[in-house]
Amino acid sequence: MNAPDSIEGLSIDGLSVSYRTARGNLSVLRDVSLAIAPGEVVGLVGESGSGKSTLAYAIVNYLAENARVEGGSIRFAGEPLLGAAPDRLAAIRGKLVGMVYQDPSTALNPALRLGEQVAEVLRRHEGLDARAAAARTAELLAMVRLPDPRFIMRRFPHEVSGGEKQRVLIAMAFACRPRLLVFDEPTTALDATTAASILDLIRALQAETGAAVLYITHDLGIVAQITRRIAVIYGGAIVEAGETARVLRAPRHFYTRMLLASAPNPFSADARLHRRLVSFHGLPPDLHAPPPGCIFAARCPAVRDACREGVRALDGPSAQRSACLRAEEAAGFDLLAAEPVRPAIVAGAQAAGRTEAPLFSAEEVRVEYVRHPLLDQIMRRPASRVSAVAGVSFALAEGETLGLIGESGCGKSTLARALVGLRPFAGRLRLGDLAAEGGGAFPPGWRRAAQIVFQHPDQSLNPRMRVGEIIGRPLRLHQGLAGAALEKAAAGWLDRVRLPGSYARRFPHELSGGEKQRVAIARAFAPGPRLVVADEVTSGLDVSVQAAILNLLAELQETERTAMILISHDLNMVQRFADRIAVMYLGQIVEERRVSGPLAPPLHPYAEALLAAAPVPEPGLAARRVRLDGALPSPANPPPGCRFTTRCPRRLGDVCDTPPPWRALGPGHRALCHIEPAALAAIPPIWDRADSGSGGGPDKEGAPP
Amino acid sequence: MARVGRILLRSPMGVIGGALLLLCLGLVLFGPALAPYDPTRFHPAERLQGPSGAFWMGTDQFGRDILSRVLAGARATILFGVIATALGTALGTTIGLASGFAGGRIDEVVMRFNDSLLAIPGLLKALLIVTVLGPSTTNAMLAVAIATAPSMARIARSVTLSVRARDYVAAAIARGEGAAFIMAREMLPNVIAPVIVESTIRVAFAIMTGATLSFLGMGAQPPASDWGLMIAEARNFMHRNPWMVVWPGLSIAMVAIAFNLFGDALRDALNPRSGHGR
Repeated sequence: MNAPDSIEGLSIDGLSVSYRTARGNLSVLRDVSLAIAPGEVVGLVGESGSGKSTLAYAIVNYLAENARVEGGSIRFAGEPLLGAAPDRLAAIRGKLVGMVYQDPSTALNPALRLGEQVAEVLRRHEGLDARAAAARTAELLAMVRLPDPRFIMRRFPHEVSGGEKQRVLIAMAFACRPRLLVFDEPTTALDATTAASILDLIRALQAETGAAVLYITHDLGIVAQITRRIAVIYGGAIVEAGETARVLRAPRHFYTRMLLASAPNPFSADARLHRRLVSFHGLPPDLHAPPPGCIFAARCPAVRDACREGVRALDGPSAQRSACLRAEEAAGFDLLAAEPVRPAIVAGAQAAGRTEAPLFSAEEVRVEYVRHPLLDQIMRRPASRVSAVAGVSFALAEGETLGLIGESGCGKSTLARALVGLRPFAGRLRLGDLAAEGGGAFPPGWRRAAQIVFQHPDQSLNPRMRVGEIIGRPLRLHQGLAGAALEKAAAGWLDRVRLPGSYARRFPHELSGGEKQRVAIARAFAPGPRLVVADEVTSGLDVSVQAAILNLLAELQETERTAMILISHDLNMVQRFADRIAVMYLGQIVEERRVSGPLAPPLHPYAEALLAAAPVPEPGLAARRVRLDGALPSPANPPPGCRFTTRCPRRLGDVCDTPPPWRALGPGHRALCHIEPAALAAIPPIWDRADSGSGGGPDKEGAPP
Repeated sequence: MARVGRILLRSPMGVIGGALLLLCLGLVLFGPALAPYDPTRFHPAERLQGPSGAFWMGTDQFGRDILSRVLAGARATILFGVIATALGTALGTTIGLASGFAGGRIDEVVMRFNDSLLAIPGLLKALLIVTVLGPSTTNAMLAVAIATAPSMARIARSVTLSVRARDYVAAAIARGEGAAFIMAREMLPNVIAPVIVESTIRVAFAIMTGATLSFLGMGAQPPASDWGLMIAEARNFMHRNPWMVVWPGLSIAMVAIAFNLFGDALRDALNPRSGHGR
């Protein structure tokens, strides 16, 4: 890298770590070298099992008990961090190195007030007395842009939002002015708009303090925004390292290239990628016995015999080093040529064959969670009502996909459950010639015609049933199959979701996460539904698995001509796979539009914030900064009038406290907003080519040094 | 299942409990055949004797051989415990599963009624029932089964509630499965493990309640060689020959300990988090 032997900053040299497990030695890191200069932000990109978190824990000397350092060193400013004496270690952890973890809900002690937890760090490492520590805590919380520090200090962790918790943890990490900060997926557990402001904060604090930062993530979009250099790790080895812009623009390793291609990027131009992503084949390497040669060889589309021999070390100019034997070819290689051939998957091909009469329609659907405990009934107190879905209407044609997007708490999953008859609702649903009235029973046939795929396959597949029975059950129930015919049909569905027939006899726990989701998809499509609701089906999966699952969904939907509701928080993914998008906020749809290419104004102000917060793995693109203040209002007590008005950056005034009208913004495009269509159309574009020099990116504060 | 077996064999509790259970099984199968004397035959010349070469455990007030009576009574006593518990578990699990699945008002009513039954001590409940049904071994078994059911229903229902919230149950409802299928095929296999563990521990309770009922004259009737009845009959002769109480008492304790140890070990083994450390 830039300065591997600089005495300043962090330098990791030839680090190898293994875990001793029941099955032998698990080699999680092999010969990893990485350097971070003071004031530099370096991204470490990898999927689960790549060893990226082990590296983070090695830096703070907090490896699991069964871990063993096989070799190498970690030094900060020349001082070895590995194997430091216990008293020195305590000082290193607090004062020299700070760390922020993925899940803020488990990183804080639920029994202590937030102020005490920050002050504890200060008292221990800075030797402050209680009064001074409290004063400094307030300063720190103000530094992480928490609006009322004294108020937050008195709260317990469960009384504040996830974003606020993460800010407190960042304050703790910065408390003793550490010279190195390790962020391990700090925004993964947060909503997009919250994550965007946390990223702003990290950038700003880093620039203020000049600390060296190691930012660990699986998200190439985030890396594109906040780092200047990155290292890509796969199977415990760094496969490519260099300047972020170079690596993302012209990767020199096939793993990086495929990782980029498998992430949905609305700006990628290849028409063959309409509703398809480049997907990984095979499984990650078994690190109990790492294969010789290139660690990625088994899944590489361009593998040659030579790749499987010898150890591949990083090679090339320091601006972009790669462990690939065919580094020059990686950027230009046609990955789609290696994909199984799928004819007729060209933009517009399906749109042409679509009938425009709606197949499915939902009118004024409302879902309420009512709690009315017996005591309250006796005391004649009113029931507590939370309106999770507050009057949602939309329609879907045969073969059409509606992307339903929104952040946690917007009611999208509740709506999904209502549509398949798992939640009582008010309103009207129609699917083909079936009609369901809220409060009444679903017509026979609805439960065959509308199917759902859930987010977590671990929970949606019965652990005590074999895969064959799981898939066979809807076939028996809805098509009356039995015996050999049933087995044959179930085997046919296994084949259609590209699982071997032998899996019919397996139990779900014998399958990987992606394989389980394939089984769940087969179960949903097997009875021949006309509508499939896919509720965050890929959010529990790794990037490399997501692509294949989405491809499979799209393919089944196209051949079966099913209408699909694709629920997600990932705007990039929805843009790629949906024909239309509906944006939900606090129980309402606030914008509905057709998708053709990257989304652009006119936009509802909330959609604008969502779009600006979605990280795109495209170097040289700068997002206009749109950030939401405040917390999501409680759905038990929503704002009267426009529900978004409490956080709206474009609030007009008192008129926003009255219910907004639907504004027509174009063909099939409408927004629930008081702002005039002409004013919405005048909103400047979100994305701007920073390297085209046209300006427009007001994002000065967070610009990389 | 093989994994559960391996973990069981690794724990000392499991090994001891398992060995004692095998002993119980041997007694059930071969106990009566092993008896050196006819358990009901009187030896008037040798009444109320302590252990000797001829009568290893001594004799009772009629000169009957205690060893023969303990061996002959093993089958009835142990089977009593196992069958009563099995019936009670089946009844309780059905109630708990159905109530938890139905939810809402039905669940509320069923469980409050169940709670009120739980407030009555198990022995008292069994006594009440057997008083209504009339004293006999079969009725005592039914009484113990019914007395066991409420606590099994509680356990089954609490597990049912967590399984009910799983997406595979939602998927089954969304697909249009009937309630019977969802309860029997989707939920029961995921509810049953903790219920079985609890029921093994309950076997000891059933045997002791059965023995108590016999002791009170509400269960097995003389001259049956039931362990509880033996203790009851020994009451008046305890001072002259304590062995009459000791042997059947120890036998009951042995069976109770066997099921308790095995149940504890089974609970640990069925817990998916136990087993292989990382």
